[in-house]
Amino acid sequence: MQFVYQSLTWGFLLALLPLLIHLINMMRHRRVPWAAMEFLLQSYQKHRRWVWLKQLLLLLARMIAVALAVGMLAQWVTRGEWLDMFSGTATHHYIVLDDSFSMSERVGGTTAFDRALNVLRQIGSEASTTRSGGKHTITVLRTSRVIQHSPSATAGELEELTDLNSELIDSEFAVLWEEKQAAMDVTQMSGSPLPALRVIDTLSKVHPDDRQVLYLLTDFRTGQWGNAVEIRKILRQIEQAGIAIRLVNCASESSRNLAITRLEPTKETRAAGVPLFMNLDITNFSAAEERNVQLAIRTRFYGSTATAQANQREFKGQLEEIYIPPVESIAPGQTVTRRVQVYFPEAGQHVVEAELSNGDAIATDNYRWSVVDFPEGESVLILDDGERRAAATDTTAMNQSFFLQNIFQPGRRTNTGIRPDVQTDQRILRDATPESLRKYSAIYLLDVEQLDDRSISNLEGFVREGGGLGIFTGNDVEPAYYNQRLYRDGNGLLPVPLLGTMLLPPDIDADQSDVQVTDHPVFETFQGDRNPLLRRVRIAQYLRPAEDWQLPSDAPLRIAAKLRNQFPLAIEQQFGEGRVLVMLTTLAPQWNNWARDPSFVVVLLKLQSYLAAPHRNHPEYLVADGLNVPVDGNVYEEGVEFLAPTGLHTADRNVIKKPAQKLDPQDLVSRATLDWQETQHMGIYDVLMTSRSGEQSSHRFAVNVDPRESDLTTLGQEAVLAELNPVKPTYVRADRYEGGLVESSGINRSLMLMILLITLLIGEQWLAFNASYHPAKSGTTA
Amino acid sequence: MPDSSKFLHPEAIKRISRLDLRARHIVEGFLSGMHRSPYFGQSVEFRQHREYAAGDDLRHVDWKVWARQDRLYVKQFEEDTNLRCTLLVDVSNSMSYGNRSLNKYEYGCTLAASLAYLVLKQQDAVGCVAFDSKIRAQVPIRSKRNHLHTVTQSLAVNAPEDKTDTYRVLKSVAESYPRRGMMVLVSDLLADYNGTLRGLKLLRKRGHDVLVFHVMDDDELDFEFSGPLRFESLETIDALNCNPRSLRDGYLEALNTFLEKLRRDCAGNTIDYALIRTSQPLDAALAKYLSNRLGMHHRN
Repeated sequence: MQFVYQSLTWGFLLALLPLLIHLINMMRHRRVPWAAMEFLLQSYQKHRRWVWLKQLLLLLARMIAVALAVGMLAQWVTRGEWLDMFSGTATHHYIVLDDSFSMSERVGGTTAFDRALNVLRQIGSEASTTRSGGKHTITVLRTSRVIQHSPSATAGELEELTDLNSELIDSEFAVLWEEKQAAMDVTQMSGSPLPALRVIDTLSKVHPDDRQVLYLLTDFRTGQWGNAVEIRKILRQIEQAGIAIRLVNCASESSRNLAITRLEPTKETRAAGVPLFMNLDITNFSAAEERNVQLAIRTRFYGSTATAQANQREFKGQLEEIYIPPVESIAPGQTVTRRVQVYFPEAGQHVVEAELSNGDAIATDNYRWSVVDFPEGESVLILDDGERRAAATDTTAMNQSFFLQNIFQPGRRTNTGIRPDVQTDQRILRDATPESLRKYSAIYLLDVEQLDDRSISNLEGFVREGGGLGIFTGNDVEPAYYNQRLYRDGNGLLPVPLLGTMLLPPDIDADQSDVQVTDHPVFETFQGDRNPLLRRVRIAQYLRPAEDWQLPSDAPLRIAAKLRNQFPLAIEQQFGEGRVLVMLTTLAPQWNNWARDPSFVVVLLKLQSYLAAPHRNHPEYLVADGLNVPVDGNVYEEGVEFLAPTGLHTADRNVIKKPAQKLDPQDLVSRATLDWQETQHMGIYDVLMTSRSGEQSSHRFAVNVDPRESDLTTLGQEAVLAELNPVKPTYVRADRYEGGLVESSGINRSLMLMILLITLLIGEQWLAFNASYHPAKSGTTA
Repeated sequence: MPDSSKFLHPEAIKRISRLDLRARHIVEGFLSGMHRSPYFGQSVEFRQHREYAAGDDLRHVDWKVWARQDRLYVKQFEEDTNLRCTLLVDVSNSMSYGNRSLNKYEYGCTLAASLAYLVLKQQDAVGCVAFDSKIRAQVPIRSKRNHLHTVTQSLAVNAPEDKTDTYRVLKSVAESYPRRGMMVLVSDLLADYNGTLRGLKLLRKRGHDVLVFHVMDDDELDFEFSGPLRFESLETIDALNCNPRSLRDGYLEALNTFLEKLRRDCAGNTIDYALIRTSQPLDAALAKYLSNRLGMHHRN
């Protein structure tokens, strides 16, 4: 006889309670001196046996009722053992083992994964000793094994993903499982058990006639189970296939966890020798406030000799520690952002690492890496053909590019990281190829009168791919031409149709600044209290948008700055992947005096950072994401080496050299990238490639854990069952599991026991009434 | 010594004082009264003729008959006599049962005292016998007014202490009281039934007018007990642990059988029988009974 909650079986001792009460009552008889003893004795003599029988039956009924109630609460399960004995039915146990990193939650020296393994061991043990269910087999599937499996994989292919596939559970199973278990540990992956359930759904179809039981050993995190539509669907499908479902919650009831959820560079200009700020987010996933959170930030500088050292086992870069004060306090659920300045003197893919020193439930998410690609500088193309045109027409024109060049390259001692390439001839655009333009992070058009179609097409292609375009207007800008060729009814690069040049009368009271900024990243610096910095800027002339133009609500347009008269001064448009920002006044101090104001430097540097931001590629890779390595088969040898981290939870990379992957040259020619799927560990990955000329180059990737997995909030039993409704699984907690799941794979007799109990209680009442144990009615009998 | 006056309840006495206790049968008194006498005396009410016998008083010869038939007959007249009432009060242990203001013993004694008052008030004579297994106290029959005190005193001194042997007592009473009178038995009759019946029959055989006041407590009649109880006999060593509700039906069945048989046997032997609950107000119970009896008397 087996019960789901074995510990409750002690409750059967309560069945002795009615007997005890009966005995106590017998000792507690109240004495009554009685005269009419003769009649009482007559009655007693006559009914003695019947009274005894009724009392005995009543006592038995009460004892059985208590036993039934206990049996119901402990959930008695039977499996039709006699039937099994004759039919020889086999039982297949499918175990889905969640090994995502949230299962590494450690409380009291035990992780959720340890608890899951313990339950699994018990299931094996129970199945090996049970007499019912015929032959027992077990299939164990870890969720990490199937995250990337193909939906079209056959059952045979899927079986290869399992740790144990239909393994017979016999007396030697324990030994086998110990061996298997020794090689298992929590991964650094994240994700729901959905793919694994789909695999089980496929595998279970192999044995449709046998008894099958699915055990899902997971931690029921809110992030994955909060809206488990797909999981419910697949479990419903499994249930309808006649497979019993057992949910085992391995999570602890409360734990504290801090995680680094973001480490990325700010959207500033990124170049060798230019300091860069990194944004670092720390989230408190605990229910309590975390105080004095210690952080460690390290940079790894890979100098120009790093690639040459690539063949060596040590490939760690030059480590430098950056001091960052501890975070005083992080409220529950709050995310705190810290900015850290890093500096790398040389170009290259350098690494910034962050580590949380506070011990918490999950160590995995206390680390984060970021690979920041520092070029020598950001090249920008400045097209200023004013002087050239003026020379052609024998007139004079102001050298607009002078101002921009001075800001981007103020002198040798000051490095903005921006490398302007001033061109006065439009042919640079007309004759450009996408590749030739790709080296520029942004292009600036300074009072360009006209652009031919090819140039416009090249420009559009450049911006669409993520390049930035800054347009400064001026005297030479012909509104009609711009509207026709660049605005193109809202489909072109120009965000706004132009009407013509307008004068902005000076403000007599000088109460208001001519430039009124918004929260646009380019101008946000001057918001609020800093706005007076712009007060000296005078805008005398501007290009006004067409009269019927209104800011469309659905287009990716944004007014970045306005004039005092509320006409737009700077409008930004998202175009493809890139950004376009048009300034409706001149760059040079022709229509304004801005170029002579210090704020102009800030605005233009911000503008460059903003326009070039999409161009700065900073891909985020999570554990188990494939790496897309750009490979040119024409240049590189067939061998590509991967250096991948293998260590767990350590900031110091323990790097091993992966065997070179043999690539088919033909394949490389046809493909621009090489996929690398083996990213099961977080850390820094290096891909080393040797060109046909023998030169080595490397690509560096930072692979981090998914911060969503760090949220340890779990759903309780009721919430899980409500979420899965109408699926009716059995739910147990791993930390309270005492066996019974295997037997409970039979029929749960609780309902039957409840019906029996109700019937028995009715019978007991009837018996008690008959045995005259009910209170007497009012009135007398003479 | 218990206060004998506690058996005389002024309120009850007041309510029953208008009634009288008449003998239904012929009784032999020593005074002229309102009850029929077995003797022929000087009365205005003619009863029968009888042939003259030597020694008869010539004053009673009916000369008219002698003139017509030439035979000597004497006229006989009805004689009224006073009532000689004997109260037989059971004071055995079983009478001590009762949880109300009056237990059976107290109720029976009060009943007897009230009857004694009534009898004395109508100029009749009353005596008293208190008994259990034997006669505990005996008060001779007197008709004096102050005799009531003697009667109540005899009841009070006899605290119940032994089991009942009704036959022995009734036989003794029958032998002690050869002259016909009224015998009033106040008892719970929880004794040997056959013995009791034989005793009552014996009294009837001796010509006594017999009244039985069967005093029972509500608990005994209704048996409204619950919970585990241990019943311990008041007169024997018997004891019984039981759930009383389970035995109630059987108990009531046995009790009702007993009461029915008792009623039937009393009726069969011309014995007046009245079952009285101790919960009933004494005056009401007595008044009801005596009114009924008076009605029957008149009908006779």
